[in-house]
Amino acid sequence: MHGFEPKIILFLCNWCSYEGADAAGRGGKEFPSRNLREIRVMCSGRVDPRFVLEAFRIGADGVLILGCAPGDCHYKTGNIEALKRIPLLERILQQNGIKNDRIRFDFVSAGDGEKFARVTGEMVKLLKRLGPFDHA
Amino acid sequence: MPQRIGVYICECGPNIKDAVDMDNLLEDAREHKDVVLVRSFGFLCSPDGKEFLKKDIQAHKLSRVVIAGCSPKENEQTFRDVLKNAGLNPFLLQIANIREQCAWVIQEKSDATEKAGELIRGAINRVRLHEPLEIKTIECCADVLVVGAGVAGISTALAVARKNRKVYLIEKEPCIGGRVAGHEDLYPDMVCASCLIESQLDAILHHNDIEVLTLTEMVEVRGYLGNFMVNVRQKARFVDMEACIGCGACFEVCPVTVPMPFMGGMAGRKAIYIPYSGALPNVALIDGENCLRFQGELCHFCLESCPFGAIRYEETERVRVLKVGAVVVATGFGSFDPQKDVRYGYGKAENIITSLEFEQLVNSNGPTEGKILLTNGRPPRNIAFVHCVGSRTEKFNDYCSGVCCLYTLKHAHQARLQLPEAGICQFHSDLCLPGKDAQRFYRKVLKEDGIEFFRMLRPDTIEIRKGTGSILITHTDTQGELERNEFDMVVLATAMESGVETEGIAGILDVKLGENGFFQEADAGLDPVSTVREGIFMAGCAQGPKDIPSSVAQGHAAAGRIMGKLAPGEPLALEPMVCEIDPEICSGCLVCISLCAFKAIALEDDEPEVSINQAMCRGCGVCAAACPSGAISAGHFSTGAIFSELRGLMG
Repeated sequence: MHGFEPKIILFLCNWCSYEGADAAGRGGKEFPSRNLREIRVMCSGRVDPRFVLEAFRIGADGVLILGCAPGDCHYKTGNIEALKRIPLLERILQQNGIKNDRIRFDFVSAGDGEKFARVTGEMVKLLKRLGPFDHA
Repeated sequence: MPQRIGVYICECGPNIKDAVDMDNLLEDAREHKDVVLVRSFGFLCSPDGKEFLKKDIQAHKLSRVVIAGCSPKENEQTFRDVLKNAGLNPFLLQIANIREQCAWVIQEKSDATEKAGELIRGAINRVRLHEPLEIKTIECCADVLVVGAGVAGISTALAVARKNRKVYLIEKEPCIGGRVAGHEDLYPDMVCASCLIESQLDAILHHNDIEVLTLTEMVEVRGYLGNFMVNVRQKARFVDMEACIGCGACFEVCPVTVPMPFMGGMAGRKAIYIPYSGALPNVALIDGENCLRFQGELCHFCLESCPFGAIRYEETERVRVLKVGAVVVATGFGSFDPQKDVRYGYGKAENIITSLEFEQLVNSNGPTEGKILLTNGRPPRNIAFVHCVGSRTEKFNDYCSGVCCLYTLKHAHQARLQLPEAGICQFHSDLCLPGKDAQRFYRKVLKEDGIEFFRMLRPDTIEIRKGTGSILITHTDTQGELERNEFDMVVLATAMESGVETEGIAGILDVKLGENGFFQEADAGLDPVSTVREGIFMAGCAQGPKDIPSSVAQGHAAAGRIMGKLAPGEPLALEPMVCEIDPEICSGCLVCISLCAFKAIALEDDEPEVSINQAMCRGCGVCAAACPSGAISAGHFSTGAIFSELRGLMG
């Protein structure tokens, strides 16, 4: 598995996590940006489970959904709705032979570049260990 | 007709140019379907850059634009404006963030180039599916409802009222002015509180564009920014507000005296009364619970004595519907109840009072006409002022109210002026003296008033109980030693808490409360007077503990936020990125209704499918993600657009 560089699709909410990702960039944090492909959505609650399935179908090794911290959602509860969908999504992924580790939901506040760097770093490290997702 | 997509890669000086292989990116972008033009530029956000972009869009008849450069959080609006100026719908733009999320964080040029290329490809894929969005406008009402006529509410009302904009100021009490109207002097300069506020109250009562509704509470709020319908309930006053001049002839003849429990029952009032001398509006009211007429007796002394025929026994509660564009919550604060902790001895011994009771005591309109007296009518020989009662402790409130140290110093100063020989002590664990005037006031009190300070180990290392003939205070000092002192009077500086009715009000308004029970801000740092519900604002202690100037400032801030959003006679621009429902596909399962945090989705009577109110929808797309039929489309973030972007990113 030496040299494997996973590709992760990130769904970032416009108000917090996208800002968190920008903050990590502005702050010159050390994180594996080369492995990340960011998609901006207005709210983490916008992430349709089909987006996640499609990401795996076309070659992503992992998916990260990041939303505002609890209580900070620009749309009151969209982040919590997103979080509530994860267990169901995990069951669907499992049935398709996709390990739960390949998807992660977390809260990243605007300006929290530190956490963005940590979460993405952990995810890349984990996926390097798991190896490429077998799309067959 | 195929799209004509223009792709612009901003060099951002050396920021992007040096981090990626520009030639490679330019060449790669040209390969994509519908891309008719690919260019790079030094600084696209510069005046030259914007002009260049505008001319290019027009000259090449571009139908879609992709800009690869800095974060959309930085310049998306800048470039949307350029599109608009070039005659293109501003939403036909997509930005690939190849600076913050690429050039600045990837060391290897080849890696950065690979990622930038994929981000650009994702953007090209996506922009092809962008729909032009129109900013719709609706008629709106610029009138304002202010809830609570304390100092925050009146400053909001005065700031926002103007010709063509009516303000309804509702207050649950019979008079306006809130807590400040009950104060004697204010720190740091001991200005007279009533002198300060009375001119404001007069201005409110005589303002052509402000309608004051006393004895009134909110019952229901429907609608959205610009179009709220608020049901309010006004209790009966039984006195005609237009006719009564507050002469007091009725009090004298009223046979019922209602005891007002204050420090052992010093005060009382009649069943027809004005809450305190100088209360505004200066109009009497009948207390229906104690008036004999409402107990079935035929008393009519007040009716007969009134020279103006103002008595209205037949008056009933009134419900009114107010149409307003915005609501401001200025419902003030409550106080920590010291009976919750036996250590404060409140209610267990006489002459242990709260700071608010001390305010009444020193108020020249109060029950003792401003004299500091014990329940036995004698002046105290010594007084202890206890800080942080119910605050800065995990057991009750972990925050600092921020004003108690200063008003406690003020109380000590007021006590010293009346009682030159008395012992005056303060029990504190820290002193919170913020702002530009507090230290000056502290030094003055320290220098002139001869006050003794006892420092406690923690805010709650104190026990107050009945002693022999006086009150015994035992506290643990900073060395951990127990110390005992006796006092005639103890004043407890209780924590400012959210008002007892806050939860109910939050429910009516459908807004959130924070962990400490106060109304939660949309953004505590940048939007501190907005609640999370658009069009509902807040001011004063409803948002958190604060002093009078800060409450006034928040009142003005809320007024400013409203004036920036609602102008009389001008339509309101709606959020263009909203969700839409396809009635052909909607199965009417109603999943979306329970998910919408803004109550924007409803099932209309007799309709098989739901509809989305375009004025209430904020475009988060939670419903679109959950709709099992795929009937909901999130504006600018359609499922198709995101799928396309995804495919572009994955190469």
